[in-house]
Parts: sequence; structure tokens; C-alpha cells
Amino acid sequence: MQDSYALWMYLPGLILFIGGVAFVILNVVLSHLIHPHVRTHEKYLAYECGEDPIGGAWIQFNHRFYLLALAFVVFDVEVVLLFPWVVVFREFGWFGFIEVLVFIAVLLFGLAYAWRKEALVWDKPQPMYQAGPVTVPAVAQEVRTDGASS
Amino acid sequence: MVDVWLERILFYGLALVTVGSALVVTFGRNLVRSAFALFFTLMGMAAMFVYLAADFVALVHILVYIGGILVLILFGIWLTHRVIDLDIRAGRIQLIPGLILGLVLMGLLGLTIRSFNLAARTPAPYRATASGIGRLLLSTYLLPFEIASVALVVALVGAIVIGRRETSR
Amino acid sequence: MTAVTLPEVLTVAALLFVLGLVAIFTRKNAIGILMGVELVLNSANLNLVAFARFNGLDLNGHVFVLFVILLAAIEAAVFLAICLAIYRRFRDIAADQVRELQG
Repeated sequence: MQDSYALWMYLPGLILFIGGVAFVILNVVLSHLIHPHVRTHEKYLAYECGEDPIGGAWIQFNHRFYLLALAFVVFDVEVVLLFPWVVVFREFGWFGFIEVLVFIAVLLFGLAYAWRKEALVWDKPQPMYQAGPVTVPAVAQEVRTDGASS
Repeated sequence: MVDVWLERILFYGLALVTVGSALVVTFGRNLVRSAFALFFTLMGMAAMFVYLAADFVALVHILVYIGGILVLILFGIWLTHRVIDLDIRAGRIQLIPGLILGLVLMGLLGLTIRSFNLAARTPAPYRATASGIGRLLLSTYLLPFEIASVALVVALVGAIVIGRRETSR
Repeated sequence: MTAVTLPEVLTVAALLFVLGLVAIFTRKNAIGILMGVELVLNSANLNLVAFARFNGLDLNGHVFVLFVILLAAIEAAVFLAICLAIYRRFRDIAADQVRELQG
């Protein structure tokens, strides 16, 4: 059973993992215990210049998020496949280098396509309101004067 | 001897986490909760890969599955649900036939595993695997390695063509 | 006495495989089905890695796992792109609702 000792190599990783999880839990619990529980109306307002939330939190994401995540995954896999080559780079020399150049060239074609089709361009959502004189709703005015008095 | 029992506890702990969260993935009522349970399944899986002396595979698994595929799945959930679906209920169909099929299949797989004399095999000692994988990728598996890049490009192009907003207009 | 034998690992992989298959069969939501597919692919990976370890750490299995992970990433990307396209067209991705091609 000599080789099972090799598993102890990963002990620092396990300790780091447990430490990280414990740190998060400890901080959330501690701050929950320590902070004062005074609930006033002002605390539930958006902070400073923040917008008042309208509707639920489940607003549809921009589809560009998905396309960017997609490009990320593809090139993530590319880098992962390149890593074993880096480890044995010296053994294979020019032969391996040209192989990997071909690999990257094919993927560069994909990147060029994505670029050409403007999949990487961030298109801003259409502004919902026309520019013009801003009319503040009566409710908001009331809230704002309340906040200013304190 | 202590080490042997420690290893068993480690493995069964990991198996419990993995299979337990896989149960939530399969039978959970809330799709978002299922996706987060999938995170724990994948983490347990990566730890099991490490235990099974596949250190490089474990790394790739975490990078691609948790860093990539899980994020894609979460984006997919958030992009395909209306604002009014405050809690995403995932309906089920064919629950009873599916369960029966699963149980029968599990029995068959169990019988198959038992029918071979696999328990006598001894595990190999731990060693680093990245350089060996690199050697194989650049010699025996050279063609699949190059075709992998073509497959990646095809997926990128196809997903952009399908996923672009303009195609629906 | 050895620590963990090969059949125990294979049993865990079989459990994951069956759970993934049941998810594919019973989920109505397309993304739920995708999660089942991921479970099935993962259990196959676990099998490959387990056999590699109990076969003198044969790295051919590890290379196979790399290719499986790569194909899983590709498959998830294209699958979700199709899901988004279907959602834009039908406003729903339930597997039993989208039936325009059904005769």
C-alpha cells in the first residue's frame, strides 16, 4: 500500500478547498450575527443614484451573453487541448510546432468568422424612452424629498 | 491499513455527493436548482478523477464542464424563460415508465459488472499524466487532434448562425 | 485487502448513467434533457478513467476522455443555440409542446 500515500499529495488542495468554503460560510454567518437589525423604510430604497427596481429579477439576458459564452467555451477547449503539447514541447520540436500551428490556424478561421459576422460586437439594447424633458413621477418625488430630509 | 479505510471513506463520500446531487439533477422540481446540483455532481466527479489518478483529466473537467458548459446551461435557462416564470417548474412526462426502465437497466448493468472478474485487478500507482497524454495526442491521436479543431470551428460557426437574433426576422 | 476495487467504481458510474437516462426520458424541458445527457457522458468518462487506472494507468483512456469532454462542450453549445432559436420561434422549449414537424 505504498502508492496510496501519493494521495496525500492532494491534501493541500483539500485544505484550501475546505478553507475557502469555511471562509465564505463564516463571513456570512458572522455578519448576520453581528450587524444591527434595524429595518427602516429608507434602507429598502436603492442606494444613492441607483435605479428603483422595476419588475422581477428575471429580466431576459441579452443574447450577446450567450454568444460570448459560446466563444469562450470553444477557445477554452482549444487551450485545454494545447496544454499537453506544451508539456512535451521539447520532445516533438518543429514537427509538433507545425501540427499545433495547423490546429490554431483552423480555429483562427472560426474566430475570423465570428468577428466578420459581428458575433463579438456588443449591441446595446434599444433605449426604452425617448430623450427629452424628464418627468419625475409623483411617487418618486415623494420618496426623494423623504430621503433628502434625513 | 488506516490508509485503506481512509481511502474507502474518501471514495464513498465522493460517491455519495456525486450520486446524491445527480438525484437532484434528475428529479428536482426546479430547473435552476437542478443546474446548481449539477455543479456538485461535476465537482464530485472531478475529485473522483483525482482519486483515480487522472489528474490532468480532472483539471480539464473542471475547466470545461464547470467553467464552460455549466455557465452555458445557466445562460440557456435564463434566456429561455419568461419573466413571469418566477420559479421555474420543470414538468415531467413518462415518470413511471422512465423509472421502471431505469431500475431494469440498473439491474442489467449490475449483473454485467458482477459477471466479470474485475475485483482482482490492482490499481496502478499514481504518476503525472499530462506529458503522456501530450505524447499520445501528437503521435497516435494526431488526426483526431486536428479534426477536433475542425469540429470546434464547425460548432462555433453553426451556433453563431443558429443563435443570432437576425435569423428570426 | 485493496482499498477500492474496480466494480465499486463501475457501480457508481452505472448509477450516474441510469440517473442521466431517466432524466432524458422524464424531463419535459429541453435543458433538463441536456443535463441528463451530461450525466450520461460523465458516467462514461468515469468508466474510462477507472479502467485506465486498473489497467496500469493506460493513458489511451485519458485521451478518449479528453475527446469526450470536447464533444460534450460542442454538443452543449449547439444544443443551447438550437434551444434559443426554438424559444424565439415558439416561446417554449418543452419537448412535448414543439411539434410543428410532427405529422
